[in-house]
Amino acid sequence: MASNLTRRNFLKAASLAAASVPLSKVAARAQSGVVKAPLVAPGSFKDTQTAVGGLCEMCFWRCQLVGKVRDGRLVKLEGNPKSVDNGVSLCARGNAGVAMLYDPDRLKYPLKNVGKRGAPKWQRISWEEALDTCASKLKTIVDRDGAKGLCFFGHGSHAKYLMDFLERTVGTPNVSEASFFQCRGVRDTAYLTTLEIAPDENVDMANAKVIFLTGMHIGENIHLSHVKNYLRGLERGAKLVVVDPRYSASAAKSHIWVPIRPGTDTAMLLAIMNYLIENEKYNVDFVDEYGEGFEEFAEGIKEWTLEKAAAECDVPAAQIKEVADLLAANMPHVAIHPGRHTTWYGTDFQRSRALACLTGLLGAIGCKGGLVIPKKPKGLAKVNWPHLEHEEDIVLRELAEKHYFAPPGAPTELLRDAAITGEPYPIKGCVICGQNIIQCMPNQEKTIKMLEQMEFVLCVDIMPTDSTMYADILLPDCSYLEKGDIVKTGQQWDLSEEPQQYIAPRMALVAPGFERKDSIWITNEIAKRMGYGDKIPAQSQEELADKALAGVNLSLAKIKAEGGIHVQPGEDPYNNIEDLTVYFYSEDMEDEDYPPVPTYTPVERPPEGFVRLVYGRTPLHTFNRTANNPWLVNEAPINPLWVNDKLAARLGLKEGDTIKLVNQDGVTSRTTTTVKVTPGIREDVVYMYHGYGTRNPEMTNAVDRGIDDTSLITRIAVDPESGAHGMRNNFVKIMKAS
Amino acid sequence: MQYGMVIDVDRCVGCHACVIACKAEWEVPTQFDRNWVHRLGPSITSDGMAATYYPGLCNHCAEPPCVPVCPADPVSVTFKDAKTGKTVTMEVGATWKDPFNGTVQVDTERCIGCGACRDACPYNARFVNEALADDHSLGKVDKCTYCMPRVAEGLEPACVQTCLARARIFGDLDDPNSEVSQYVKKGAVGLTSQAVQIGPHGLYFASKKGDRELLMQAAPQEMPKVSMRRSMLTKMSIVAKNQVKEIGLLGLAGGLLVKSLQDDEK
Amino acid sequence: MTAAPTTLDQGNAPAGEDATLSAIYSLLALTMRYPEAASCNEQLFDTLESLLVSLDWSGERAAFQDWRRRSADPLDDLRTAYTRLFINAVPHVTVPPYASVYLDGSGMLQGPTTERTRDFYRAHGYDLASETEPADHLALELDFLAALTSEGRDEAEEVFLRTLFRPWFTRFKERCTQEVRHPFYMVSIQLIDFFTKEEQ
Repeated sequence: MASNLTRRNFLKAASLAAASVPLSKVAARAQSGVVKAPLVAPGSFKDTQTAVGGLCEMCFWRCQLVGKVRDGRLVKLEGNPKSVDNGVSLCARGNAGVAMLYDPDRLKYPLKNVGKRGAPKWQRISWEEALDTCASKLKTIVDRDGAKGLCFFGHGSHAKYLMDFLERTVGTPNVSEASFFQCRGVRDTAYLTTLEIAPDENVDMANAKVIFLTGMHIGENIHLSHVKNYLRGLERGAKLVVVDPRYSASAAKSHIWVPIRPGTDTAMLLAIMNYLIENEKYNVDFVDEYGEGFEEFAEGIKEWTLEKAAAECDVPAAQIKEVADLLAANMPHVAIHPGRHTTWYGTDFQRSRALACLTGLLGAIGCKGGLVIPKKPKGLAKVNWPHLEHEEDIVLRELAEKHYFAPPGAPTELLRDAAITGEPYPIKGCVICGQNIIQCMPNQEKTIKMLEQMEFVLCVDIMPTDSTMYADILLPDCSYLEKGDIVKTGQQWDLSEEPQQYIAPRMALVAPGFERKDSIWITNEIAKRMGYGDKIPAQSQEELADKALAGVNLSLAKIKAEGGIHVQPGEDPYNNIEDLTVYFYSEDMEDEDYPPVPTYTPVERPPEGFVRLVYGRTPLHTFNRTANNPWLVNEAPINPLWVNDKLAARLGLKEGDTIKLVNQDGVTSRTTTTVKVTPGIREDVVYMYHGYGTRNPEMTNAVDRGIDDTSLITRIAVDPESGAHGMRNNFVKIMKAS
Repeated sequence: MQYGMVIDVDRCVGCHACVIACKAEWEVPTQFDRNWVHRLGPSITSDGMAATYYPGLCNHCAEPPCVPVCPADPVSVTFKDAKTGKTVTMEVGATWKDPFNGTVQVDTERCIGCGACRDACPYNARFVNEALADDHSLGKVDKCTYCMPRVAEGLEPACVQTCLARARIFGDLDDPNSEVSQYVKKGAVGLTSQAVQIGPHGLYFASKKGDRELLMQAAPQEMPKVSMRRSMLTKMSIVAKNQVKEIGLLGLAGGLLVKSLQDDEK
Repeated sequence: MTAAPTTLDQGNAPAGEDATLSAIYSLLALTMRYPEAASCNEQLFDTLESLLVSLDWSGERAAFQDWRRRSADPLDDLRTAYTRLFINAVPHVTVPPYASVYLDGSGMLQGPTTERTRDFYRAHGYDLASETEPADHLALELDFLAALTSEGRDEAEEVFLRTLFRPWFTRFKERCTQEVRHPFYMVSIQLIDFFTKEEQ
């Protein structure tokens, strides 16, 4: 820069061409002068409007929200006082939705990658160009390779409409939902096989005398009304039994903590059941009435004495007996929790089946405190993409002759292998919506290989997650605060109270900024361009909701006028078990050559010098989904590694030491974390929160914080019955980082 | 009337909702906290393995050490009892204990941001936001106000409202029928220690002995030393700063004054 | 209290100067909007170059000319650069061009500063024509400054610069110094700095 030229001097020079001004002139307001900045925030209740009809999606429990809005700006989120679910409360993530809404790193405009997959160079493009490109690329693949040339990965309510379009109407079978294959699908199919009931987490803890949790760390896992359910049970005097290698948040409130050897839970369950049967302490009448194949079952688990399980599980036989006696003394009012994230070791179908059998053995179904399915409102119209006749209904797992008890969709491992090898057919188009597949599926190298061989990758998301680095076209979705796409229904969480049902459609609390568009609009626009315009079930998100609500003579407008939630009298959920059968012995499974009686398969123990890596949740985050949220990052910036104090002493580790991890395959963590030294975890296992260690620098708050546990889960364990991925079968060495 | 807050740690699940709700309600910058949640344990206590949570906030103490150290020029303020309409007039600095409801409040306008009150608090309940510095201050102090503006509108404090476990109970400790008083009868206590006994009104209830032990270990063990000289220097520097500015020697003089403050900090 | 000798145009500058300044603000606002074919063209580049010549910024001019010469498709080039710097970017973190990110203590959009900025627009007879971008986007603030100066409202301009623009722009510029390599945007940010800062 030269000279002492000042602005003043310069302006005495010649004039220049001016450009147009996009500010519009309006009549000046009465006030004049500078608006003085208030030093103290006025509070969310001052000068704000209350926008109703919000449905949270910071996690997937979907609490009902209101927003406090000042001049178009969302100041605070609160629970909707009309809610019979969460009431006026919200958890930390729900409250932090404001920070998500206004995160400057959030996707804003459609983007095209003019660089490489994995090392993208983004260019903003118009919606027109983006949608045209998506449709033409997808159509080219479908025309050439059939609908099975596409695959879809998605999560959450944002993804459902797009997934249904691709799966039902376009007809691709290659749909792999993380919530099924990397989370809870194995639980549902195991319970369906045993009880013909998909359990979700529907145990009546509020009215139970005993709450039995295996690995279910309620408290670190926050699903708001579920926590209320649990706490009420405790307040009413329920005895809490927690089976967990770690002294989790629920272990801290427990009466009995069973610090079980990881991977051996099924052995303990079989021993409990065997003990109850041998001592006639099980629910004989219930089993007589509803049980099928009980004798074969009893015979099949006879080997599981308390002593045998004690040795396998590394817990005292007396403690297993204590738990069994407690359950027997309080049956049927015992809540045997089915769990949620149940894909642990690749032996999980059998463990879930054991839990379901135990529930049946105790008669804890349909009664106070037991497995009770709430009665949701009926009659909402089903509005969805039509299921078209497809030339061929190719099912990967049938072709592979595997996973006969899989949840809906394609087992992820089969899908990945097919894409990479091109056998039995090529998969060249990939659509990802609201899921970070890089951090969600074990063996990241394989996922990357799968993406790299695609001809076209489309990502729809709200944040630039690791997955989006592989997109060719990246579309900015509206967040749950800026859109309406589903209707949540349910019953009040304490089932012993006066039955009430609720219908809560999601409604936008604020207008989307930038050029974000909701995923229903995006799907419809792509569908039109691909030639499916006449199959569109709803032209807009509002129409989708209104059509569904019309089935019960309601509408968005009506419910908005009611304060955002429609509440009506409900039905008694108890004692609805006339058609129940408990398949202790499953002939269906026998037919497919799987063990017909719940069976324990030991898992590999950690090699010398290694410990097992186990992961879980923190109440501050929903894994990588919230990893960039400044308020949440401030509370939980890193995922410390829980290390047993004796192990730490042997390794020379102290509280707060910075460490790296290297796994059994020699893979080293890219980043570091710190050590939490505690007696509250076994010596053969270490624990950390999942979702950290983001590698995308565009998530400026999240990048490189903590360790990405998925990067160390390279060895895959696929559950044979369901095809779900077990992910607690990798071992690590801890190394001090300077 | 003395407002107080009881935390029932039997119920608390350590979800941090209270921290975020407060942050949203009062637009607290991300790096500061008007309240906090610390995880305690798992550790071995005299009653076996235990783990619990310490949700903390300003205790609006009976003898708040933050009030007498404020060097701002005292002014006369008339307080009014919301219930009875009774008034009382007191000389107060930029922070005081309300004579009627027992809460400790701050006048942000008059605060000079010296940090003396923040340094005086053994619970670290206050912070100074230097981004709000202006011609009269080095920043502005902030802390929990027991949400008095919300309470005045008939609302619960933000943290109480959002708590999904109903683990925060707010009310009048002087009312023997209030829920907080019932908790006192059940044994809820403040986090005090031998050296720190300033009458906190944030009280903790735990039915498990191990949890009680962990909480008492989290109590501050010593009273901080406050540098009165530093707060007086800040006070003087603001006045001197204005005088000097008029003569136009701001750059030079400000440098000298700032340096002397830093020296004092060492 | 404001006896400091540091105001911009003191009181009534000649109308011609105001018109020129307004035009400059508009020009700079243009450089901070997403590049479109209609406005981001040779005429714009020529205009910026002549500004650089008038200011006698020979180093900057050389770099700018060099870029013009070497770039096969300047518009495409600028769109990629703009997206990387101001929308979503790799390999570096973004430089979000919004006041609230730098001033409101949480790094978020739509903070209290955004509210105050919009209130200031309204108090002076302007409001946003569209809700796509928050009120405190750099381009919008420059447009507003163009509007004020076109009406000769120097005092309002000075107050806006001092209380709502410079406090964040200085931090933004610092970040840009680390992140911005593209000659076009280096030039535009330096120009914005020159035309908005206080003169001793």
